[in-house]
Amino acid sequence: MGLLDQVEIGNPTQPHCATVLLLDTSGSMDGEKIANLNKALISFKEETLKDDIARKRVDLAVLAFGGTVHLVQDFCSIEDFEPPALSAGGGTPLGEAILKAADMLEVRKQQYKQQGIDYYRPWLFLITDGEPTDMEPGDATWNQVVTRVHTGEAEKKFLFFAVAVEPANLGTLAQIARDRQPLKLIGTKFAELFKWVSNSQAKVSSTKISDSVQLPDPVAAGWCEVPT
Amino acid sequence: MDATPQNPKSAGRSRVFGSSVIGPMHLQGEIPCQDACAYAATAADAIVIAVADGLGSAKRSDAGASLAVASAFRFCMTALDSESDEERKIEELVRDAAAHARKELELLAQEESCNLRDLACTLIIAIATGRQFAVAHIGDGAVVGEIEGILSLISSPGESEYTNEVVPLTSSEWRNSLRISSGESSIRGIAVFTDGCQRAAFRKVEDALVPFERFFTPVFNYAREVTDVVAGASEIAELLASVKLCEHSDDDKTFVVGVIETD
Repeated sequence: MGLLDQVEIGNPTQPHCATVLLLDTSGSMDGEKIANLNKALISFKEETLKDDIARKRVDLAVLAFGGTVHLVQDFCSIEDFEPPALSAGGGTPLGEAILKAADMLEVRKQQYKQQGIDYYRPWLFLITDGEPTDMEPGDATWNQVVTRVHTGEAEKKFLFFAVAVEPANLGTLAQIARDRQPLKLIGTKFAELFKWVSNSQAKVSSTKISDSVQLPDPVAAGWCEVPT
Repeated sequence: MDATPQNPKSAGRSRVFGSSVIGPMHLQGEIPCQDACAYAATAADAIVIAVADGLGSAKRSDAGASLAVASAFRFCMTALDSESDEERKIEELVRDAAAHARKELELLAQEESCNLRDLACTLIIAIATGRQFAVAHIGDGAVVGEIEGILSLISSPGESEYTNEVVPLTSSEWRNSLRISSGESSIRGIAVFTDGCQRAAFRKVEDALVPFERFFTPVFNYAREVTDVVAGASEIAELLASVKLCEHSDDDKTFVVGVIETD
């Protein structure tokens, strides 16, 4: 019997990349925007399933904020992810949504540790078209949210991505996503955006890095323009 | 791959062999193998192993890993071959070998007008005699020893919370991140490997890594039985390229095993 037949594998679990999609479902997203977002979530699942590495590693949760913040999908594998049919309505409780997503990521990391699962730096991926309605620059919630995001990036707790859909206030978003410039979606190119997310996750979960995370160029991917 | 065959000067009581094998992902992407290794048993039956893993995010990390391994390995072999003094501190030697490898990477970056970070790689240098061992280690990968019959994690993959983030030898922080492990124990087996093998080699107990007996016992037993180290290296290569290992890591993989027989 050769060596190959004799050895056994110590820790057969795949490392995980916890990802929270934080999706704006406020009233202003109604119509073409929410319809394209829903379609894009279906193709996101399809794209990620095509990648042998990403499909084993992405651990996805979806949090929607429109009127209230609600958990659409708790963490699950991409195979188990059931793309939701989101509907739009209500205000934009962005502050509460970001805090909840950051909490979810911390809890998930603790679960990984308890279960002996290796993991990558988690992703918090925000898509919004509006101004937050539960905070204003300088108020208590605002300060809590920006501190959470800025220290989260600085202490490498997560990667925070913000994508602005027309007519989102890029200035407001840029203050929150200080360490990673928000990107502006061209029209409603959600499908291209999620294809890029899928490709990026495949890349991140298979590349050893030193200090900075390098992702495929989003402008070249054709879904965004870098705001001027 | 930069593997060195058995040193003909070795008295033959110690044996060391291993391989670096390209991972499925690099094969698919037509990216070169970014792992490298070199190993030998010395005339005094000490075992020297150098292993490096080039970072996927660095453009020329394959060249970095090869150079780091070759320079650290040569540094140790030259010193051990020229030293008759057995009391020489191998702990200092592995530390100096890491510094030498870092310098060589700086020189290569200058010569080729590239950024040092383009050559980013991890590095492990291990020396084991029958009585003592020393390891210099930066980045992930690990060293496991069989000491007085017990499997022991000699050098762990490091502090990083995330499985793919490391401080490489090319970092300005490399001195602070270089870990030295040493001991004066009766070491009979040593395995040095890159992170591509970690999931096979360890189980996790309350977030701590524990060498997996059902992996290492067959490996060390095999190393004691095999007489032809070239055949041994092929057997390791076959293991590293197997579906059994690759379904748990698509990365390049390096595994070098040494056994030391003393009177």
